[in-house]
Amino acid sequence: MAKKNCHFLDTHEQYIVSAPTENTVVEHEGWYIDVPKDVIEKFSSLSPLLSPWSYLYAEYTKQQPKHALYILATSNYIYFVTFQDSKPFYYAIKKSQKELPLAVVIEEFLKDFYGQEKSYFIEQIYVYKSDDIVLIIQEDLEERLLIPVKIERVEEASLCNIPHLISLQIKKQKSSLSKGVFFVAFVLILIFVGYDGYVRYKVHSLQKNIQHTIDSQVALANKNNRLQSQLMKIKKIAPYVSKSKEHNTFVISTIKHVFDLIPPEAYLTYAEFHNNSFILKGFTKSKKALMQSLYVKLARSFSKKRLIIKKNRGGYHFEAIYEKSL
Amino acid sequence: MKRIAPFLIVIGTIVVLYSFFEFVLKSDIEKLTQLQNKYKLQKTVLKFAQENRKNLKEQLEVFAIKPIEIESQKDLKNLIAKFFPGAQLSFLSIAQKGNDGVKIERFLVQGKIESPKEFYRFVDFLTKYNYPIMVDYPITFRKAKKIELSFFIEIYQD
Repeated sequence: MAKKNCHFLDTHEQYIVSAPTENTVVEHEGWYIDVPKDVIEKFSSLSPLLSPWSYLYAEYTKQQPKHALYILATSNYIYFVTFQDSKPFYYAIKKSQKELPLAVVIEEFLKDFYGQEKSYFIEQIYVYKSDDIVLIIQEDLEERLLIPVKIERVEEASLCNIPHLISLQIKKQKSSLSKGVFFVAFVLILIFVGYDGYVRYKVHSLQKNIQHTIDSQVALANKNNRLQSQLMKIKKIAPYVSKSKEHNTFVISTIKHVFDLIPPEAYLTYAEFHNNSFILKGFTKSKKALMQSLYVKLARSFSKKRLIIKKNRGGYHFEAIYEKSL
Repeated sequence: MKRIAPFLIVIGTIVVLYSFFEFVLKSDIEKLTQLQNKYKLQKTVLKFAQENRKNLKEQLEVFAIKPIEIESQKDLKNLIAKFFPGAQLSFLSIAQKGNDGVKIERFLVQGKIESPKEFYRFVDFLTKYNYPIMVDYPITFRKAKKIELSFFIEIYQD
């Protein structure tokens, strides 16, 4: 299992408050630490985090001296706090400046502290420094401040043992839980909306298809009606067309046959055809030729026949009547 | 407040999703189902119409004769004028024959021709193109400057 590294929440944007707010990240007994959300997000990659106030409070609870000043010096800031009745009494955060000796900064804090109402005389100073801080010499501080000073180095590994670290982790977990739930909710809503979009697209597509199908049906029904009508007409008319064809062919063949029988020496002036008979009138130069053509050749087909031939100038007028016996 | 945020998100999401389903998605799905059923029905009707058309075409193909219709007397006049320019067409009678309701119109055609061959061509044309027209007796040819021709025709119409 990998060793867990804990870090200080090394920022001046952390505040000690007496009542929890929406920015509260650590809960102590009767007091709280607030850190703005954006600051927490900046430090989230260094998690787990520990507020310097929590660290100094942990040290305070170990010793419980009455009038002590607790200082944490990191590479960026110097955190000062005094406690009274297990609660921070006065605190400050100052920017670390290499050119300014720590003793001077402490002096400035003490000056502000002693200016506070109900302040008390500091009898002991505890200085905790992170690894990369510049060298602090205990004797120099004591000589200048005239207060006993105890300097300790902060072991990074020990930070993870501070109980109030957990509060910050829980906060982070809560935040990530909210984010997770929100993400799942967002995805679910997205799925629902997306599915509804798909359903609507299908509805639109189906409506178009149905309209197209109905149009095709109407067009096809009209065509079918025309075909049906045509079929009915054909069924009715076709027998009459067949009958007409047969009859017309017979009529033409009869007329042709009769006209073909007129010999070259003769010509017709009148011809009348009936269903079972015909009448021919004309002129011929040769009585014999006419008799052979008309009289003889038609004798088989027509039982009733009458041929009247009258002599005229240069030839004969003739009138022929033929009739089939019924 | 922060502790109950996930719970509120879950409740809110359930409310939103339920409302969305109840008031939007449900009706859309019902509409889709109805349309799917309607589309199936319309497709079946279309298929039936297509089969009907195929069936009608097959029935039509059985008939070798496809008559050319004479829609009006004007059509008939134009047809007669094509073969006998200047001919007279006289309407004589109209009758219905049989139970099938076929209408029979009878006309007298009187015109002048150079040769009987023109008459033959007319009758051959009627036969070749399946006109429902029957040339009927009496048919008369009288020799004058040209040949004066008169004959009857019967037209069969639905």
